[in-house]
Amino acid sequence: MLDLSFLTEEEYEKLMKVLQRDAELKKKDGDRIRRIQGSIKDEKKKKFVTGEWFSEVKAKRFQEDLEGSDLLRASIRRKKGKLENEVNEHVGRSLESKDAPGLPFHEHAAGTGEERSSTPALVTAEEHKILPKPKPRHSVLLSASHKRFSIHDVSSSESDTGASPFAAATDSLHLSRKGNGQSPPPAKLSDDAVPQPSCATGEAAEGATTAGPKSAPEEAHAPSRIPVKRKPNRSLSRSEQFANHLGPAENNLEKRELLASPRLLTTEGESSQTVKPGVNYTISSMSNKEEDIGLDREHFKNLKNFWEKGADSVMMGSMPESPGSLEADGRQFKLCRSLSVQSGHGQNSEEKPGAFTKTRTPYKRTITLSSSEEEPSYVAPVRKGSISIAPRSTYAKSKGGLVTRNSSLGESNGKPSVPEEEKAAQRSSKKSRLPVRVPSIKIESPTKEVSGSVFEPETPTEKFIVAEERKRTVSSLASRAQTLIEPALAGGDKDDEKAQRSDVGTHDNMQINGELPEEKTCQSTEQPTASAPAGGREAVQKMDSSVHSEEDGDHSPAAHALAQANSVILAKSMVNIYTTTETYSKPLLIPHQFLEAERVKELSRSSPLLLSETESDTASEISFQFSKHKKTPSIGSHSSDMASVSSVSGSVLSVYSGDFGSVDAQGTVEFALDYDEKNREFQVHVSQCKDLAVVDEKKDRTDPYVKTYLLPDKARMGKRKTSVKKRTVNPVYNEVLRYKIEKMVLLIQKLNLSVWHNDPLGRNSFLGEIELDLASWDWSNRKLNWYPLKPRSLSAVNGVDHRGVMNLSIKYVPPGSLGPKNPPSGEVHIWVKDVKDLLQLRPCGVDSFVKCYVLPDTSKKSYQKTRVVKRDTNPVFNHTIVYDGFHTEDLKDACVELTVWDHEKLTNHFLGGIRLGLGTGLSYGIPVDWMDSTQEEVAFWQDMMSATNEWIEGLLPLRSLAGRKKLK
Amino acid sequence: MSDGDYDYLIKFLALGDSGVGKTSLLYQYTDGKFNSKFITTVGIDFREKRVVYRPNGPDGVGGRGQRIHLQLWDTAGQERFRSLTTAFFRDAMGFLLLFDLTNEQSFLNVRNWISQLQMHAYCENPDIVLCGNKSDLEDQRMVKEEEAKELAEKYGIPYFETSAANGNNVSKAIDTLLDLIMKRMERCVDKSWIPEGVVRSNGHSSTEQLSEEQEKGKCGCLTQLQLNLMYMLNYSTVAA
Repeated sequence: MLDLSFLTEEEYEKLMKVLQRDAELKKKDGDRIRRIQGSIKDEKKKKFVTGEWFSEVKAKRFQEDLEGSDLLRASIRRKKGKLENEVNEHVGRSLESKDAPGLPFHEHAAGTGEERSSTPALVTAEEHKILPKPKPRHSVLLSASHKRFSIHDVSSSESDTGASPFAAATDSLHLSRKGNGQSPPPAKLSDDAVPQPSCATGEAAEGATTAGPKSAPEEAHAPSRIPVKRKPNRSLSRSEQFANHLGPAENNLEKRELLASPRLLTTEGESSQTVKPGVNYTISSMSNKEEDIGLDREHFKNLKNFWEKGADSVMMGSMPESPGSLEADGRQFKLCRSLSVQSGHGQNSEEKPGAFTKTRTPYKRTITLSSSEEEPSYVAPVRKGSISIAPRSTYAKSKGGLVTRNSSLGESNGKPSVPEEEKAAQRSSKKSRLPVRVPSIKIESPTKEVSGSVFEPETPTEKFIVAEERKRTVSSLASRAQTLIEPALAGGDKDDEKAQRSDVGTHDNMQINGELPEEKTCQSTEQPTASAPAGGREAVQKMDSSVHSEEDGDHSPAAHALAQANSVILAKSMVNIYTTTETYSKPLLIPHQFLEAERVKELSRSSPLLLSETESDTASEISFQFSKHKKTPSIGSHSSDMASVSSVSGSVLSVYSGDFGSVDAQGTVEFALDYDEKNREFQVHVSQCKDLAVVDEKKDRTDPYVKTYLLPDKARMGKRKTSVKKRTVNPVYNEVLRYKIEKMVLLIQKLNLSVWHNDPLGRNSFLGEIELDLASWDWSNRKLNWYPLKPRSLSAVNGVDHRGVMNLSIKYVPPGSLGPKNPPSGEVHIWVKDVKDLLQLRPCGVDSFVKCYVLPDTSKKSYQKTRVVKRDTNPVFNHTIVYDGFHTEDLKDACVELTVWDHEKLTNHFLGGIRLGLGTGLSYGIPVDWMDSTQEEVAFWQDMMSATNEWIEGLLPLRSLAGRKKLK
Repeated sequence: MSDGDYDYLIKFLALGDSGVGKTSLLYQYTDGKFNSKFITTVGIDFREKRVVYRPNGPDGVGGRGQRIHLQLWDTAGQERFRSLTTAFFRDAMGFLLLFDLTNEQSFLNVRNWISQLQMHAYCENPDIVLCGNKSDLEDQRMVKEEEAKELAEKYGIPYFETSAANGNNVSKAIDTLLDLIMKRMERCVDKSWIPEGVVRSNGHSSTEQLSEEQEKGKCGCLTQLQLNLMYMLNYSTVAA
């Protein structure tokens, strides 16, 4: 970080303009590189032309270091603080403003979702928070986009109500993948993933070829990615069409708007996402939902067979299945798979919905191996149509990574371990299925003969399976269906279902387990089905999309439109889905939508400002949730509590592990700061303290010592302590505490100097502290100064520590590192082991699960989650997620966001998260709020980058993810 | 211009004491204009120019010129911006190090700037072209050409006496830097293809060119040799 405090406002603005120009140039260059990348075969020349030669040389020296402009940008943000925040916020707000126009929408959407779910108040609050952020400025452009999308969004919003199904569906897909992951061992998943990755790469390649224009710098990075983006665009248009079709839905409109923004984001985001991921994140989730799977084992087998036969077949199936729209969907599916297959498929995908597929491709999550087992909690969600979703997930689970896509399959399969492939097949099938489903599942069967069989039994599931694409389309349909269903269901569980659906959907997605029951129910419902009720239910579920498609089939015109829309929508629908999912979990859902939208926007790069807005939104959203949920204890009084919590984390946290509440902070401390340029050493000259509090009044005893930390990453540099002076409240130390640290790094730290009473037998007592922001420190001041000791500061209380600590390992497997073309693309493995000392927001305990995104991709493809571990503040997940399609360069621009949530029926509450990345504030040259990794997280990520093919173990404190403020 | 219809994006950075004419030199280069009014640069800025590069070397890529988009970073010479400007050093492929021929202190500070570059540039021996600016103010000259050339030779870098006011040698200095970069680029990539330990300076051709250029720039053969040595060292480090 740079100390820019000396700059005047005018100078800030000038610098910002320069940075803006630079960002534009970078974007242009990124576009150029993207364009030419495919056409240059000479690797040498490519390195010249792309400037890669330079970055390679530079990397030898600076590795992860930011570019100067990025650093300056980040510094400005940080320094400017208010001013800059304002600027950023403006941008962000403009983004937000987009939201703002959409705010109502959001609110509505949220409202619908919330209303359905139980916590409107929370939602509204969140919304409000979010809303406030958004500013009108950008709103115009955004609004326009929103409007377009709004229609789509509306559909999605519908889906939220019903729509959530989409989201849920997507989620479910993911979940299903996870579910698959469970049944199959991680290895299996990986295997699946491998194929997928290749596909993904192929896709990426395709995307690259196709891709085009949208991509910004990101694309440049990964050609393949670029294409993906393009696809999303297509999807957007389609989605728009859909939206138009769907348009009628009123409530949905709002939602649509919301969705729309997300869609936009998605489109852009997708492209960007695709770019980032590289990426086909193929996440195969292995779910434990074997139980569920068991139900559909036959189906799974079929699916498996089908998958085994190949994704291609799936595509084929989809082709036959769907007439026009369906075909599109199928193509999309094909595309997705084809992506895996690569160019051939990619072409197919390109033909139509390609955008979707492309999008998918980038996002493809190869594998999510979730050791996590089935979760009962999900079952509850199952109620709704979402059930179908669950199956999907199961399918996905069964198949593992790639298969997961066939979430629809997953639904039926969900249970066994139909691999993700199956899911994929399912997806494709879903698309096709959607049309097919209604008419005949078998039709779909071509692609998914196996799945078809599965489908037959589980027609509904198939519909569900219809896949994400369908889900997307379905989402609109689903939303309709949902709307329809809702009334219908209203009599029964539907209200609950909605909420549940949303929950389920999310849950399903999240958790495969729940899906089974749900699926079953859904299936049952669906089977009987009539397109409307059943469809509604389905819609309710993630399956919704599929269901919708089915319904579409039933309701032909609308359905077709939907189906078509679906294909188009898929890309956006993904976003929508996310959003919808988010809506399901009211607090989370809403934010997610926004976030997604925001992210998408960011991804889109169309406007850096937008991106920033999105970032802010996300942050705000999260923060909202946080505040709501958390109701953090007051700083001072709670400090002791905090301390106890923090104690869990261990050495790092130990800082806070003392007894905070018992002694009032008083007195002063004298010290001086210096930086020794020669030795690159930061020195704290601790001279003395005066008038410290007496800890043990009976014995009149205080044994003080001084301890320092460099925040925010205490663990990284560790603590320094002086000696303990016994029985004195006026200790004299005259000791120097030293940190070997680069000045640049030091300047982004805060010095936390605290005084403690040393109690060898009990807990050390906190006597007071002082925090200094080293970025604004006057380094010419080397004199000793007196500072008043203060009570435990807010930053400490609210700091990372008390949220718990995540134990995880990550690994990067570069392409070709395991043999020729093995893996075909780089893979990032994330092994979420456990979390310690989670916040407990509710009296009954914490039902936690972990969500994972690879930013900037916020699509469902990038979304993975673990099972829910109930009533445990120290949950063990042992869930492995694999994202493929990572180019080594992508590691610099991507960010793995792991968030822990408290799962409740109607809402999920944010508990804390980490962001693994380089924390540069930039992603593919675009400033983003979420590139805000702490030093600890950055170090973790860097370790992974430098030690490839090795598991890097880390113990990272969870933190709030309020983006803007976190930017270094 | 704004379109991406170019083959390479090359980034240079101009540095040197405050008031030596960095901004003016770049302005002269990109716009062919000169403004005698002193406007201090705030932190950093950049200018752009599109040029065509035709390799002269025997192993030139061919007759076709390469379209280059130059991003010319301008930095503030003022001390208070130092931490900010040095952060940009690492992103530049080549450097224009300026001093003021009428200001001896700015010349004495050249070695400080070079050490700054060695610390903060993308590698320890980046391509640098030394420019003694304000050569039009002959009557106020405080730095002898021999001194400057001596210093340049010591560091093995080309030296030009430029004038942002009349444009003298401005293009030549930047073209020389561009040539150095293009040569290095090829070496960097070639290097990666060569088995470790076989440090081949594919740039013999380029070296010749360089020497030609350098001779024009009044740099000796020694410089060339030194350059080669430096490259070799650099590459070996990289390889390691």
